[in-house]
Amino acid sequence: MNCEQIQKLIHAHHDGELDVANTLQVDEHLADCPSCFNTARQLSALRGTLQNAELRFRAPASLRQSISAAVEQAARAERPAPVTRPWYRQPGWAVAAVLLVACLLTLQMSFRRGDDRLLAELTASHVRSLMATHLYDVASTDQHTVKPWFDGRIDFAPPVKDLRETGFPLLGGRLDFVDGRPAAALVYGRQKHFLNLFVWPSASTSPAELRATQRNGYNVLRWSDGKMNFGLVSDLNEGEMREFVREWSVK
Amino acid sequence: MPDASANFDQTILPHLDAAYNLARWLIGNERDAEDVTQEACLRAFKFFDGFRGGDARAWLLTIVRRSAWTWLRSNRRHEEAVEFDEELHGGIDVSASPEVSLIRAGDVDAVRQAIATLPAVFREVLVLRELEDCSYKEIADIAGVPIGTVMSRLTRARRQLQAALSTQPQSGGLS
Repeated sequence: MNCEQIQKLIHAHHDGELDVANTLQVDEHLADCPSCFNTARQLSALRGTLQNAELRFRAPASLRQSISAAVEQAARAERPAPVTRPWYRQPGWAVAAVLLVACLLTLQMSFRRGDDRLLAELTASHVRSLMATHLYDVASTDQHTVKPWFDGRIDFAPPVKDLRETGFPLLGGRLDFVDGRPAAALVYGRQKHFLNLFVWPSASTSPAELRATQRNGYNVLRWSDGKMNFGLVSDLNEGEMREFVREWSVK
Repeated sequence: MPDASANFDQTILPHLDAAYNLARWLIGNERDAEDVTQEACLRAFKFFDGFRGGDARAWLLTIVRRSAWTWLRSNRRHEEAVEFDEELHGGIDVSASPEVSLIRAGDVDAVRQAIATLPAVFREVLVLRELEDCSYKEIADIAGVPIGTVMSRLTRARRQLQAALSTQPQSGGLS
C-alpha cells in the first residue's frame, strides 16, 4: 500500500476499526514510513488532549430531577388505570401480533354473549401461550413445586394435580387472565399435544355440568366444582380430553 | 403507569450524561441544551414501548441528536444547520496535515473553543467518537449515515481540530 491508501485507513487504524489483515498492513507501513508514522503520532497526541474528562459535559442534577418528574407526570397522564398482565410485557413481535389478534377478537366478542366471550378468551389464551412460546412461568413436573409457586402471585390457591400415571404429565404453570380476573393456567402434555387448564374462582357455589364446545379447531371443556371454574383447551380430540376431566375429578 | 416510568428511569436515565454532552456540544449553550435534552427524553419516554432492548445509550443518543438538529435548524444561521454535503466539501484530503504543537491537555477552555469552531456535523462525530467512545457502527446508526461517511467526517474533523489547536493563541505564553 502507498501513503495515500494508508492515509485513508490510518484513522480507522487509530480507532481500532480495521480488520486484522489491514491492521497488519498499516502497522508494517508505519514501521517504514516516517511521514505516515508522524500522522499516527499526531492522532495519538490529539486523543491525549481530548481524553481530559473535563471536556465532557455532565447533566446538571436539576436537569435529571426535572426529567424524572416530567416523565412520571407523563406516565400518569397517559395511563390512569393500569392492568397487571406480566406476560404482556414480553418483548417481541409474536406477542404484539397475538395482542392485535386478541384485541380484534375481544372487540368482536363484545357484541356477543358473555359466555361466548369466555370461550373465545380461553381459546385465545391457549393459542397465545403456544405462539409466544410462553407456556409456563414455572416449568416443573412436580405438583408440589407448581402449587406453591402461585402463592402470593394470585389471590386464591388453585388445585394442582399430577396426572402422569394416566398419560397427562404436568409440565408447568403460569399466570393468565380469564373473565376479567387473574387465573392459574396449568399446562399438561399428551404426547405432542399441549393442554391448558385454566382455573379461577367460581362466583356461584353450585357445581356446573361439563360442557364441550369447539372453537377455531380447538376443543374447549368447561365445568365447575362449586369452588373453582375450569376451562380445558387443547387441539387434542374431545374423547381424550374428557378422559382428562374424569381423571382430574376422581384424583 | 408508574412501572413504565420506573423502567425508563433505570434503562434510559443512566445515559443522561451522554445525552446532555451531545446536546451541549451541538447546541453550544447550557440553557438550550438542557431544554433540548429534556424534550428528547420525554420523546424517548413516549417511544419507550417501541424500544426493543439492545443499546439504550445509542437509542437515546439517536433521539437527542434528532432533537438537537431540529433546534439547530430553527435557531441557527442557515449554513450551520445545513447537513454536511460530502460532494460540496470534497472528499478526503490526503495532503499532509499541519505540523501541530498541541495545546497542553490541561487547557480545557482552549480545547473547548477549538472544538466549537468545527461545523456541527464534524463536532458530532468527534464528540461521539472521542468523548463517548462510540464505535463507527454506533455513530453511523445514531447519525443515520453510512460508516464510510462517518470515517470521512471523522478524518476531516480531526484535521480541522488539529489546525484549530495549532493556530490558537497559547494562553500562558512561551518566552
